[in-house]
Amino acid sequence: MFLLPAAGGILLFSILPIMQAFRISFFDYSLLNPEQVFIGFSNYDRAWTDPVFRVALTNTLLYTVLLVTIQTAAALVLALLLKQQVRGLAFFRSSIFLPVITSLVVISTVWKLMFNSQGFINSFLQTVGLGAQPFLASPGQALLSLVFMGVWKDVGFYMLIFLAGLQAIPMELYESAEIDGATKVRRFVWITLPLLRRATVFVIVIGTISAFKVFTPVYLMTDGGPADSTTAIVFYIFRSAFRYFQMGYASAMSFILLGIVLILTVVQFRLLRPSEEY
Amino acid sequence: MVGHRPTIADQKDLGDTRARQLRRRSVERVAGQGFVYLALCGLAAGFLVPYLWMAFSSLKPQVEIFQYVYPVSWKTFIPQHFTLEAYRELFHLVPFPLSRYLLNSLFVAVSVTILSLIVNAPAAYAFARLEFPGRTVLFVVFLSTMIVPFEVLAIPLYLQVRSLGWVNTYQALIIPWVANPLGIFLLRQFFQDIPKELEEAARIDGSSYFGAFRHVVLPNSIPALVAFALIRFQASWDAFLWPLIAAPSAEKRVIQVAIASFVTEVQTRWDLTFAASTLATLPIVITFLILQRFYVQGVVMSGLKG
Repeated sequence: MFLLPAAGGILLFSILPIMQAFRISFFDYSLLNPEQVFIGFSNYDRAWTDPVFRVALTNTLLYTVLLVTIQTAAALVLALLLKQQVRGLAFFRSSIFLPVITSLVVISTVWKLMFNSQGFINSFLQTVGLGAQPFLASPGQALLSLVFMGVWKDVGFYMLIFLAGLQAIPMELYESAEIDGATKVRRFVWITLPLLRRATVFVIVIGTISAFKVFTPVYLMTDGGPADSTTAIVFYIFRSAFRYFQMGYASAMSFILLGIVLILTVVQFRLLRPSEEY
Repeated sequence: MVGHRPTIADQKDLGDTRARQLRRRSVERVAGQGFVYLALCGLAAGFLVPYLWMAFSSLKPQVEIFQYVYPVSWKTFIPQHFTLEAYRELFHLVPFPLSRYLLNSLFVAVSVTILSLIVNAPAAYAFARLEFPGRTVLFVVFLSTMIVPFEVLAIPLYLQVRSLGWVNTYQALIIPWVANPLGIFLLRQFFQDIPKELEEAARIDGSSYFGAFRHVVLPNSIPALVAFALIRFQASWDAFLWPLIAAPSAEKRVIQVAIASFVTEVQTRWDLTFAASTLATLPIVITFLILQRFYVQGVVMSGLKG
């Protein structure tokens, strides 16, 4: 049978574990203490009253909103810049795309050193006469630094989506608009933006979901600090499960995360659904 | 009133204005192009500098990295005392040399890629072409598992793998990632676009479903299969959260976890960190440059259809 191995894999490593974890989220289950005690919704209640979980939720939301806004705008600008025929186009596109194909671990590692007090960015800032910044060492700047790095890594991917969208716009539309005397700005607002709607929806939805799951940069660059200022949800789940071994609580938080991601996806598709078809 | 007849002088005037307009436009265009060019160069620098800093610093003695970082000049990058010491040290690490972690990663990524193709391509074919009861339901069930992000699945999957006794084994790193709903979905789309007549001809000539799949469908799907293989290889090579929890032991450690342990354990050795990062990045970058066409297709494929 063609399907058997795939079906088996998905059942065993996706469907069953999810069902099992859903059960565990109602138990007081710790890896240290194999005894499982049914405690109903206590794990979920605990999440809503846990101040660190709230902080993690706020941080994640802030990170996501900042990242998606900047990233979407930057990707669109880059796509417009790189749509034109200039010499060395392939070189520019590849440079911007390079971080997309580099592992997040390597990027987090190198950027941790870039942001270091003796790192490249501070040295550059001082060379051009600006003051050194604490970046990851300061509760006020750490999350922003992670946002900056996040945009740097993924903007090339979203740029490519916008480029594909731009190339699908028929040139005749611009030509007839130009004959009608529409200015460049008007042509952009009334032709480009509406016709990029599908690409934009995709960029925002995928960007939001992936930002919401941020883990690696937090783990490697800040360890959630300073003072929990970069503790994001997935990092907090990881910490609860594998440093404090509270599997029941971690499972419950995983399902809260799943719920949020699902709601976000549905809401965004609703909000951004095109009002008219072109 | 006599109608004004266009004179030669008029026409010349007109020509002059037109020429002036054109000239101004081309000046504007050149200026605009220059500006765009400048912006692009700045951008490219912004994206390349971290790589250059990483790669060049890995060829320096540790002291030199700090010595020339400020003020920024060519010495920040180009080594004054070129050395491969960091790389030599990486390959003599205790308990395992870095090559061990690279080979672990390679083994896991190649296994995931090959098994993914073997398992998902037939499944995609079944959904694309075969008629069987419950096909639609099963397909929807498969796809719906994609909604659950891996980060949510991490804890449940860990408990599952643990109950199988697979913690710190290669199976744990490979087997859960073989079946891939996204791959089944993408390949199914591709298979559906292959003309049915080709397969029917093969079937009339007496080959089985499997024969038609192997000799007609697969050879006509090479670009999609390569793109899918690349996506799988890269995803496996880059995976971090899963190997971190499923196989943290030094013996089974993959390169990403190894680099992470540098960052968290021996923070002070920037030369080693840079050299290890360079080694982990190079194979991917080279693969990308060679297979760029498929890569971009893969992104567009997973992007616009997915």
